[in-house]
Parts: sequence; C-alpha cells; structure tokens
Amino acid sequence: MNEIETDLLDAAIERGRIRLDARLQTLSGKPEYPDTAYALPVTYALTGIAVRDAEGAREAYRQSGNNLLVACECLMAAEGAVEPPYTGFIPDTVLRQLGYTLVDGSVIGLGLIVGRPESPDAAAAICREMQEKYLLTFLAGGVVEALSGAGVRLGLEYRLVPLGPESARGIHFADILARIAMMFGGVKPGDASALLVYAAERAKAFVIVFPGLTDEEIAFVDSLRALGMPILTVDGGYRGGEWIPVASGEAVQKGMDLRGIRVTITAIPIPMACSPAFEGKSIRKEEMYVEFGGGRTPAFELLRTRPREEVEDGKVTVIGPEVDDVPAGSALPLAILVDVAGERMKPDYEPVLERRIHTFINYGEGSWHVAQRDLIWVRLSKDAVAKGVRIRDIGTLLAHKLKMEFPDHIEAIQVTLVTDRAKVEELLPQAREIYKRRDERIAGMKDDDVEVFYSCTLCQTFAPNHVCIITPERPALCGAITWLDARIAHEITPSGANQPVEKGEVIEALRGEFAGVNRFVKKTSHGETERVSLYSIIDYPMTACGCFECIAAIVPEVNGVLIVNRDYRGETPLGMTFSTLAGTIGGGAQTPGFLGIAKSYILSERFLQAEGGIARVVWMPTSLREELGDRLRERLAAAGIPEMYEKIADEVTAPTIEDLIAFLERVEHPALAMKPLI
Amino acid sequence: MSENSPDKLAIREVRLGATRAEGGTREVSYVIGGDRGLPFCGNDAGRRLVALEICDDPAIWPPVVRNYVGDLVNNPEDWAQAAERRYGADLVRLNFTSTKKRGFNAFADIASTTERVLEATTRPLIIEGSNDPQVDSEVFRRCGEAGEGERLLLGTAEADRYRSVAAAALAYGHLVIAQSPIDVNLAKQLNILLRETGVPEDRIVIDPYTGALGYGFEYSYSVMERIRLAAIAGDDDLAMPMISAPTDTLSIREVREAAPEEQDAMAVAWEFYTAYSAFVAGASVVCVRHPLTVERLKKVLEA
Repeated sequence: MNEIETDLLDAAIERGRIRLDARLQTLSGKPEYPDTAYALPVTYALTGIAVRDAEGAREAYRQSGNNLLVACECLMAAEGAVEPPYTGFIPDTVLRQLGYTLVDGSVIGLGLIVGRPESPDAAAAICREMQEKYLLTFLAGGVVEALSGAGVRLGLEYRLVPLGPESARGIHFADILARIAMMFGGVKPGDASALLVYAAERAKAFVIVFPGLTDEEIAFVDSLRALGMPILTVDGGYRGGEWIPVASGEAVQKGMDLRGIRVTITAIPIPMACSPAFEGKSIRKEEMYVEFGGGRTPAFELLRTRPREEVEDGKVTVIGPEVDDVPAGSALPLAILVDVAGERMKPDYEPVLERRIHTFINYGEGSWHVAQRDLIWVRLSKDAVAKGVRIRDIGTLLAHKLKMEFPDHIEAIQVTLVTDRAKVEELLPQAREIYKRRDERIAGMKDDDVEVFYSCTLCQTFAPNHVCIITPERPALCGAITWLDARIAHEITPSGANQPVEKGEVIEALRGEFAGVNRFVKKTSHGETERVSLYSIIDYPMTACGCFECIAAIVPEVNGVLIVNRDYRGETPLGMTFSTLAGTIGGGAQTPGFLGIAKSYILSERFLQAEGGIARVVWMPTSLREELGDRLRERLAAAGIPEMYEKIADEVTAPTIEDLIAFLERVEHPALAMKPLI
Repeated sequence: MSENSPDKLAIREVRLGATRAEGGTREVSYVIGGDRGLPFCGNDAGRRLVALEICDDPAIWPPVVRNYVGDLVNNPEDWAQAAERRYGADLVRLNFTSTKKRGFNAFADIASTTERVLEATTRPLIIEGSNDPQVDSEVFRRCGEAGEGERLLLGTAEADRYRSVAAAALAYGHLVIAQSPIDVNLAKQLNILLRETGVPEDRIVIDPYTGALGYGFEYSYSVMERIRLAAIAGDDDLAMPMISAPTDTLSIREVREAAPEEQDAMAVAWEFYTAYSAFVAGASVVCVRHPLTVERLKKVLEA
C-alpha cells in the first residue's frame, strides 16, 4: 500500500474527527427524531442515554468515549427532516418491517452506498446486483441523484432506500442497525459491547464508498468499522487506512464474502417431498422399484473436496442406466460421488458431510438409505418412480440439502451418480483407499490423551434411546464417524448430533467406565441407560442403533467372541445370521454379551479390554479377515500373539459350533485357556 | 414464593394473549405450562385449553364440520364468535387455508381477516399462517402486524422454515408454535434454532406433531412423554408447554365412511379420544374441529 495515500486518508479522518468534535461542542437546538421509542438510537444503544437536548448530546458523547457515531447522530438529529424522495430518519413502524425481512431471511444482508459515482452505470450495476442477491441497500449522497438520473427506481419496495442527499445522512444506516439490535436482538440500551457483537455477527452489513466525501463524512464512514462493517472503496477514490479498494464490478461479491453472506435456496426441484418426516420410514421389498448395494450389487458413497474451478455448482451427472431403463425389482450398482468446494471446506470435514448423505436420502418420501461408505444400501420406491423420481433426483436432493445445511462451508457442489457396473468397480478401490487413509489419520490418538469424548445421536430417529460414545480408540459403531470427525461435526454444527462428553472421574479403568460418560448417557438416553463401559462386552456394554458394521457376540462354549460383518450373508456358529443377530441387539437396548462395532474398533488396543482383548476372537468370516488383512496381523503381532491370525476360525473351517470347538482345540486357541467369560 | 419460584418448575410458563392492561385487547389471557411433573399426577399447575379450529377458506375443510356449522364456514368472524360463545372453546385457532391456493396473493385479506376475528373474539387467538416458502414471509408479516401486541400464538415453525414465523413473533410480540416430526431431538434442535434467532424461550410452544388415534398417535404419545421426561430431568431446551392438533382425525376412513346419521358422533368420538390422549401425554392446548368435541372435552376436564 502506498504510504503517502495512507497518510492522506488518515489525515482526512483526523481532520473530520476534529471538525465533528468541535461542532458538537457548539451544538445548540433540539436533537431528536420523530416516531421512535429509541430516542437517538445509536446513542441510546451505546450509552443508554435518551438524548433530548444539546447538553444531553454532549454528555452521551463523553460517556461513549467520544464515539464519532454518537457525534454524527446527534448533529444529524438536530438538522431536521429531508424532502421526498429522500426518507431521512426511518420511523419504528417501517423499521419493524425491515427487521422482519432480515430475521425472516428474505433480506440476507445490508449495504450502504455513499459518495458520488463517476459513472452512474457502474452504480446502477452495483444496485442491480444487490437486489438480485437479496440485499437491502441504503443510499446517501450524490449516488442517489446519479441513480435517478440513470433511470433506476428507488424506494423501499425496490430494496433501494435513498436516505438523503448528503453522504452524512448515512448515519441513519447505523441507527437502523442499532434499532434492529434492540428490537430483534435483545440488545439492552447502554450495553455497548452487546451492540457491537450483534452488529458484527448478526446484522451482516458492508459499505461501498464512491468519491466526493467531505472530511467529516470520511471520518463518519470510517467510524462504521466499529460496527464490523468493511469499507469498500470503488472508482479509485480513496486508498489507505483500513479501507479496501475494489473494482466496482467486484464490490458486492467482495462485501458478501467479507461478511459471509450467502444466497440460500429453499425449494428443491424434484418430484418427491423431502422432509425429516419421512426419515424413519423404510421401503420394503414389495414397495421397492430399484435397489443399489445391500450385498446384491457393488455400491459406495464418497464425498471429496475439490478445487473450486473443478466443481460446477449444482451439476448432477448420471453415468449408466437410469431407473426407467430397468424393470421393477431390479438391482443396480451405484457410486454416489459428491464433489464440494469452498474456502472454509477442509478435507477433515469430508467424512462428516459424507455421513449426512444417509440422513438426506432418507428425507426423500420415496428414497431410503442405510449404512455407509462401501456398505450402503439404497432403495427407490415404486410410488416415487411412478411420480417421476429418477436416480438423477437423488443427486439434486443431495446437492441442495448439503448446500443448505452447510452454507458456510460449501460454495459449490456437484454430484455424479454412477450405475454402470464396470465404472463402479473401477472406482471402488480408490474409494477404499480414501476410507483407509481417513481411518489412519486417527490411528495414533489414544483415549488417555483426551479429556473429552463425543456423542452421536444421529440415529435416535430410528433408535430413540441409543447414544454412541465416540473415543479416539473407539469409533462410532457405524464406522463412519471417528473422534476427530465428531469433533469437527460439533465445530460445524454446535447444536447438532455430536456433543462433547466430559470423561469425568474414572470409575473402572479396565472396563472403561467414566462418571462423566455415565451422566451424559443417562441424560441423552432419556434415563434408559445409566451406566456404560466403553471397553467391555459383558458389563454395561454400549447400546446399538442398527447401523453397526459388525456384531461381536460371545460364544460361551469356547470362552471366546465371534465377529460377523454386515456383508456376510451366511450363518455364524451361533446358528444365526448377521440380520437375525442384528434384530436382537439393535434399537438402543443394552445387551450383555453382544456388541455392535465398527470394523476399525477390532484393531483398537481398547477392543474388549475388559475381557482380554483381541485374543478372545475365535471366529470371523473370511471376507472380514481378508479385509482387515495386514492390519490385523500387525495388531496381533503388537499384542504378542502373531500366530493368532491362523487360529481364528471362519465359515470354511468352522461352519457350526461343533466344528468351531474342534478347530479351536486343534489350533490351541488362547481363548480356551483364558479366564472364564461367564 | 418459594413454592412457585420459576426455577423449580419443570415446564416454563407461557402467557397466551394480552389483556388491555398487558398491551392487547383480550378480555383474558391464559398462562400454560408451569408444571412440575408428569400430567395427571397431582402436580398440574398450568391449565389445559381446548381450541376450536376455524379457517378462512372452507374448500379443504372436513365435510362433517362444514355440514354441522352450516353458513358459519363462510364467515370467519361469526364462526370465531360462535366458537367462544356457543361452543365454549377456550380459544380459537384461525387457519389461513386460503394461502394453500396456487398463486395465492390476497395478502391484504390476511390482515383484515386477522383484525376482524380479533374484533369478534375476546380470548387469545392462535393463527396458522401459510406453509409455502413462496408466501410465508408476506403472510406472517401481515398477520403479525395486524395482531401487534395481542400475543398471538403463531404457527407453524419447522426446522427448514421457521424464519418468517420467528420474525413475526419478534417484530410484533407474538408466540411461536415449533413443530417437529415426532422426534425429540429435532424438537430440541428447532428450539435451539429459534433461540438463536432471538425468540425468547417463554414464547415457544412445542408441537410434536400427531396422527389420529390408531393411525400413528402412539408415536406422538411416546415422543410427548419423552419430551416431558427430558424437561423434568432438567433439559431446558425442551421445557416448553406442548400443543397438539390431531387434524387428520376427521379425514380417516372410519369418519369419512360413517353412515350419514352417525357422522357427527363418529367424528366427535375420534377427535375426543385422540385429543384427550394428547392431554394425557402432556399437551397444554389441543385443537379440534368439530364443535361438539369442544363441549365433550371441556366436560371431562372439569370433572
């Protein structure tokens, strides 16, 4: 920045300040505004003083610590009204309507434009953009005349409000903000810091400055920065201080970016209702037109952050057959690829946003989704397809809902739905590679290193009393949310389903029972569950919703534990399939001897710590053992039992309980010699 | 004082309506909530209110009610007056069904109907505005403005469209019905969203949403019970009184297909048992549509 110019602006501000100060000291007459219960609103909000006369004005100015906004307001109030078309001071009744549109969201931000533009067309273009972006614009100074001359219609109904012929009339913009803060924001008169917080965080406003201001006006505009408003200067008029020079074509976007103002969408253009009301409803086989995944076909979902230029906002692509290309009752492969871009989007957030795919697809009246990652199972109902719902609409739904839910993080989003088998199979290994990397990120963290765990109650729509407690060494039982993910989810949505849980006092270390966790679970399970051990399958085990990747169950005959994963469709040596077992343990009940778990928890040092850990595992399907593969070998080696890998039975070596007993005795499985489980 | 000190109350007190002394024009205002425990367990402090629902466009109103009330359906203020004086309702819930018409834009009528119904009644008023994002902003502003100072109970805020209702409540001093789809956590989340918008907690009434008895009411019952239990256990974000409007009751098959001479009795029976169950589950206000249901509910409440 040019130092001489900086000096120039600073000098002008200082000259203006001195002038305003002097004028206030000699102010006479009655500073007052008509039709308001807030006296001189900025002054009232900052100091609590309802100014009635010049003496009061000086007292308030003094008490505000010589705040220039107070000086400007008092001086303006003493000057009286302006002639139409100018509005001058806006009465409370009109202001209430303005505030309404701001709370209501039909106006998403406020702008003040002051000065005299060199080109009326540039000013008109700025105003048009403000209108298109649902911003309410106030105008003060020569800009009003310039716009009228260019044929721009002004007035509240056009969301372009001409405050007055001099830029100094822009002070009404500050009194509007102050009154909105007091009327709608619960800001008490005299609570200056509450006003500043409200102005900075809630009333999203910015100022655009054209040239032609007096020194006093420059000082006034500069003092608006205290209310959190960035000052954008166009036409190269002013440089220096904290003012931000921009090209006039970029001013509105820059102002919106600086204040985090985003245009939001309300209706989703798909032929299907979309609401949490439909979330708990499943689509049975007879009602289903087409399904994806669920063991019948390969399917997965993946959300990735991309550079902004690679994401075409709102674009939905379907690669492969659409639903009308297949008969009712079909199964198609599916890859749901969601690409997002945004300045505040971090790769760390990906799993959190990805997990919302589950929620949002279930919002659709005729769409249904369970599980996560490469285990997903999605259905579209016959009714929905008859109404015209296509796979493409799932993409549109996801693009809209994600953007609505995470407006601060997603600037652009595109969704690709692949139903072409070869292509899905080609993409699947890449997705698995990403899932693995996400799991590794948390690998080094230990439960003892943190004071706070996180909860997850996303599934309470299905299982009303279930609470997941997520620790660094025990991810959510769906496998989709790690401790890091939960922490980030809490950061993004503080009132959402992931809340911090203080560990509190240790009640029993081996079993992993903590006073803070118990307190939290009791409250959040609505009194249903009073105690939870984080590392035990027998004493107060964690409850389960229904989304678990695997089920661990004790096999009393062999003093061990078997693990069965969701994609294994055969029977276990317990004589039950995964789905039969799932039916007995889900729904938020505490079932000693059974546990819903994530695959990665099997590899945790905390896995069944109370019962002796990984050495208890006597059986798992080959598919699961192969998937865990080298990671399982490493874990066993670290536990000092590398030979265990070969000692875990599977559906081939031990399909029944008799086979299992024989197998374990033959390989001398360590569980046989451990302390009795029951 | 200590007995009644608010910090011992499980459920916040909420005042509906405003008398002249309170800045409105109602002859009475009601306080609901203030409970310390489960309903009907000897701890009930707040009152139970029965609202009769009326509307400004009867085209989609249940035929059984239209037949019963006759010409009143074409005149909201007479209907509202009859609700209070003839049928004995504690208050009226005015539904702006006209806003459901495609391309609705008669916003001035919203304001004038609100004013006329306020004029015709002496008790607090519940207003159900639009439920279409296209017109919400204008509809809620008009009815909010027309009823300024009256502490109207405005419905309905939902998680993805609560801003207009909240804005009207904030701008003109009204209360908000916060409706969630039979889900205790979403009820809580919506209350938090409303709080963040600036709506004070003592101006929120929870509507956990319901179907008719035998048509899903049991889900609502258990959610209402859970909301109340959570509040008793100290969850501040759920410590609001509840309202229940089992509006589907009159469109179920049993009522629609009843023999003409049995229609009224059938409608009243279904409405009565659903609405009374909602009281048992913890509702402070129930909204019904058949005038005879009002009488029957009032009688049981007095017993």
